[in-house]
Amino acid sequence: MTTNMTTGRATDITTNPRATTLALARLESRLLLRHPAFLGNLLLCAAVLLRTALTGAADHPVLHDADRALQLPLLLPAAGVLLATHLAVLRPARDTTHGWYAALTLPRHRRTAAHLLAVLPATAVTAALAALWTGWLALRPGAVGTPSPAELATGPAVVALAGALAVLLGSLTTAVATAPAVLVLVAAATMAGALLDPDWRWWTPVVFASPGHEALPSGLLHRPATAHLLYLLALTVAVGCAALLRTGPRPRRLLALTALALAVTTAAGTVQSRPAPAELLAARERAAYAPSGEQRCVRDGRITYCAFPEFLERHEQWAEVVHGVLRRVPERVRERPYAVRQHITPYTESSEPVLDAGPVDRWAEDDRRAGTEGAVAVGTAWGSGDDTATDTVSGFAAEFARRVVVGPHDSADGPHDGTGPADGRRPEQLCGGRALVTVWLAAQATPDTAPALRDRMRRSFGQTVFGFGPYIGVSTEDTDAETALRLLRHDPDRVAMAVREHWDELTDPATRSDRAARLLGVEAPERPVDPESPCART
Amino acid sequence: MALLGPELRAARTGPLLWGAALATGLCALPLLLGRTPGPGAAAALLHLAAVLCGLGLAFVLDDPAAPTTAVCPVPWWRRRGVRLAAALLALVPVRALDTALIHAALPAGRSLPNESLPNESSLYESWLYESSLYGELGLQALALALLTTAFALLGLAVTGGRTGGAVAAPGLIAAVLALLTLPPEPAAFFADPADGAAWAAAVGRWHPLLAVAAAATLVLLPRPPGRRRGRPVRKGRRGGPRSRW
Repeated sequence: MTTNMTTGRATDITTNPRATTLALARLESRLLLRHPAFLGNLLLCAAVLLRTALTGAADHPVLHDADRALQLPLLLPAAGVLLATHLAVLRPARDTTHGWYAALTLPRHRRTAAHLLAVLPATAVTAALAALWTGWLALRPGAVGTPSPAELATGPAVVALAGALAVLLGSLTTAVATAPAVLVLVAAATMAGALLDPDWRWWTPVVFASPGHEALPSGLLHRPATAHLLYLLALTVAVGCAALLRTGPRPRRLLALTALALAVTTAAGTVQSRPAPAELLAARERAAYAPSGEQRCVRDGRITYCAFPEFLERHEQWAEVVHGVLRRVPERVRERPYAVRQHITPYTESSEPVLDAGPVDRWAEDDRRAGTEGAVAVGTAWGSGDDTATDTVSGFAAEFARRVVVGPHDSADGPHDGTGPADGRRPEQLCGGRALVTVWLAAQATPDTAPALRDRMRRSFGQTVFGFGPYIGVSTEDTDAETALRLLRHDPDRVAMAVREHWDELTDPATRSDRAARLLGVEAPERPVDPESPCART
Repeated sequence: MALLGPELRAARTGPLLWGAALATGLCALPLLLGRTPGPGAAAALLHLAAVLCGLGLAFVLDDPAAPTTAVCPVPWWRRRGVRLAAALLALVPVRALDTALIHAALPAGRSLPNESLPNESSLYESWLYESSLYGELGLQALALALLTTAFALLGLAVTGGRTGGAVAAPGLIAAVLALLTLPPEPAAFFADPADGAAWAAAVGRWHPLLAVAAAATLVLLPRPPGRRRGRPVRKGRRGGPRSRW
């Protein structure tokens, strides 16, 4: 006899199978929530998210990108639910107490139903974790975009599917090894889906992008998240029904529900696997090669910032770098008009970047049409959490400093030293004084730019390229970049005074590194320039 | 040797056979599908194969009759040692076959990871390099196997010697997930063999893990089931403790 807490009436669980099922479901859910496999994996997931927060990878989040990035750590509690639920279903087999269960009034299919219902609280806990994390990200300064509810719900839906699958596996075989083996195989299939980008990847539980890609505007994504969520939910119902059919009677309603769930699973699975529509591909092409028509601009004095609408807030971070560079240059240079334009590389959501030979010329033409000639390119990432983000910071700082020191690419006052991109290809080689001043201006711009430049140099050898993807940027000798970074130990106002005083000579392509170093009051590069490098030939 | 026959008859070898079969099937996929895996994917497949074999190994020490066999005069460490040694020996050719399948799927004449080899390297040096790489992957598989064994022995201690696999299998999965997700990139256990420096650093981290797993296995091997040090088995329970979860 138990007491219903809502009505206060006593319920006889021996005569009311539904109440008994619910009572068992409550007990099993409590055991599941306290099971080391679930609890451990949930804590592991929380630790991964905490590490993301502590390492700065959650700074300046793109929310419509972060929602699906969250699906990966949420696979951990899903794995925990699969293992723990499977062990719970196999408890009679593990304890060799089958005979005892036969004496109970609750038939086997009702115990199966209780195990299926017991997964719901664990699903709710996972959903709460996803909501908390996304809410925290949305409140971060520099957050842009809007998360997709369907993408956010995918993680908890996978947890529910894992629980239902565990119950089905437990009803098919009493081997404890089944669930871990299935888990490894599903993980292998999901990983293969991410690595190989096959047509069937949407049939795996989650489809995630390869790390290191930059975020696209949400309108350019081909993520059939709603269809995928429907597919997961229908599959969960189908798997749950299969478990019930396996362990008990087969009433017509249950058979109909199973058939309906399978039909929805197939339909949603087919819909989600369709390739990106032609209109979307055309929109991507426009955004990649002529983005001005899709963007909005804001003016800050003589500086114009243009970005995709969702990313427009990002101009505040760009402005810090821009003002950090311009405050150190002569007034006549500072008063020139400058423009910054956001670009996306021709990425897809999950595959490697599609390297295109010549987007730069089309960008220049687009800038001319939009009245922002010589605009400095910047990507959609920002921050210090990963290589993509720091490369965007260092690339933008160096490219803007180069724009200030040298002028726009291919312009009349562009590179005359014969080391520039004579065939219009980037990155542009900077030598001597130009390299020193460019790297120093970029490095001292904000507290984040110097670490970003150092990080980029750490991953380079001989030549360091700072820039926007493979398309546009600044290439310098490591010796010049190291000398420029050594300047950071000096009083920035004194160095800035020297920069303003000797601006013309420092930005002359004929000025060699040792002369520039003397003018700036720092020791000349310690190592000789590689005789094979373009700078040695000038 | 007299123990070998009875112990092998009593051991749960089904999961071991299934694990080995699934691991081999997984490693045969690139050949069957005609795909050439990159160095990272090839290493990942061998890691997954090691996990599947580890899952099979998790159940080898299970002994549903532990309450009865507890009175056997042969010490626990010897009985378990025989099972463990036989299972590990059985997995050696499986591992060799898995490695051969992956090797065959890689481009002819080159193996993991050809980018790291200097251009002028001789075939001998190349072979030496490949051998060391496959050896390192084998070492990592051994570390996972010993880790699973340690979990299984722990499981035997808390389930009255009957179902250590129920603890070891989830334990192995949790440990692999933790190694995969928790250490930050500079301390990662899994790396792409194409990135020579990161791979060498990752390999170095498996050595202490292997030592800890081996030490834990040696310490736990002789421990009788259902008994903690200084604590007698609780009275009033027959047939060993029941599952708490």
